[in-house]
Amino acid sequence: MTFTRFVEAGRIALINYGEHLNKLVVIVDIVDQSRLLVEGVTTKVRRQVINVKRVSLTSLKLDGIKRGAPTDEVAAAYKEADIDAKFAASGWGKKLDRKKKRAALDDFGRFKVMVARMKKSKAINAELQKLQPATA
Amino acid sequence: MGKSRDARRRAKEAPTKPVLQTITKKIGGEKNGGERTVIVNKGPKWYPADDIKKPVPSRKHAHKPPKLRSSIKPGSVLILLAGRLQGCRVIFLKQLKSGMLLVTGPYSVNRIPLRRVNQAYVIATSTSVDVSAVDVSKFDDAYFKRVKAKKNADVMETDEEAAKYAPTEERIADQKAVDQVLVPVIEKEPLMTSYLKNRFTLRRGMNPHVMSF
Amino acid sequence: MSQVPQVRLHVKGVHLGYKRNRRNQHCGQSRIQIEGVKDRNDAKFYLGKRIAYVYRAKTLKKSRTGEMSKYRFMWGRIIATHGNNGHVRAKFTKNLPPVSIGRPVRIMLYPSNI
Repeated sequence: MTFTRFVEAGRIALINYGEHLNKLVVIVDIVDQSRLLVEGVTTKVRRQVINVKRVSLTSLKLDGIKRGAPTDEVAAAYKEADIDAKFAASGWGKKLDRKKKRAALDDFGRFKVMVARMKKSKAINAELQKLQPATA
Repeated sequence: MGKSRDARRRAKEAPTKPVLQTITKKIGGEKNGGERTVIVNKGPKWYPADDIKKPVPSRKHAHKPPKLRSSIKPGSVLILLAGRLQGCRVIFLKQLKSGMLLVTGPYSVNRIPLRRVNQAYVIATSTSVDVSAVDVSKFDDAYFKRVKAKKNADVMETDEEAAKYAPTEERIADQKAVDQVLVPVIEKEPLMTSYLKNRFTLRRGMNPHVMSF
Repeated sequence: MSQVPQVRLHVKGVHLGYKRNRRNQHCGQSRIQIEGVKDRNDAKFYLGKRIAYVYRAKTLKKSRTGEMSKYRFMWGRIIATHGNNGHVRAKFTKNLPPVSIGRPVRIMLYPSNI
């Protein structure tokens, strides 16, 4: 099993703990084994040092960002690469979006989701029954 | 430290001292100056020797119904939180004078009749139904007041059958009238009928303090 | 069995113990932990809500609803938050028995303010 996502300058990461939960940031520099300098371009996360455990690496990366790159360079590269749209289109981004929507549902919304899920599982089970070997 | 904004504002709007209303009257007599300024309202001539205490005004008749929560509006779907019907979803019709809420299932949807419910035992959802066509003017607290079974003077008996509630003809008729108007409105919205039939329950992972209703 | 279908309209909680300092405890108030509540701000939602400690006894007794039941209730209310991590303090009409420490407690959703 080789690793494909590395902690490096330009790597896009998602903060997974604290006040900036679920915000995308760019890893700008590495302080030491456990701390990173990150900056959120569109997500209002100020350039700050954060523990590497509070961050989850994504598969997105900004090329051409060197360690300690200034804010305007990072911002320009981020916008050019259209990271927000790419992340929103990814499976992870879609899941996060769905969780956000589900949490904001009102009572009737939750009921409708429940009905839809029951319908879906009924349809799936019906197909599954067809595939089962016929028992005597 | 300079004066606060409030202090400055107060000084600006400071009420001027009340000036006594006076009238200048002409008076006769050569050496009397011709005019005299006279205070118009001299005040009472006689004062009681001791202070007489005024009785505190009675607040017995100053009843206002308890404030209705802003999230509860006519037509709102409410979730009942306690009692036999806990978890049931009902439609709010109007607030009665006592402060209780008049709600109904409607009966033909989830078998909840026209009923009174206390505001504190209810969660208001953001879903609502148009109830403008329903006539609720005849329903008040007297309509719902419990009729106590007459005590049997001769024998001490617990007449359980008499004590059991049975709806009167009037109630059944009124319920039908309300249902007739309300049910078509509910059926217009997809899934609303089954939503009202379904009972609310908390499940694993559901935290009321973060959930929106 | 009662006719009410099995719907849960209470939040689960645990009786942690009594209000106390290191060496003395004041049994008039209990400390309660509510499931899913980890913040002082989140706990503020539950202020004023009623709490029930439910326990079983050997003899049947007439319950509030009129039926004979082996279940008994001790009622109380949440009166304040306790600390920064979402615990709350509750006062019961009669102090909770020490045997209830560590045992579940039900936090009702009424009196509601939503």
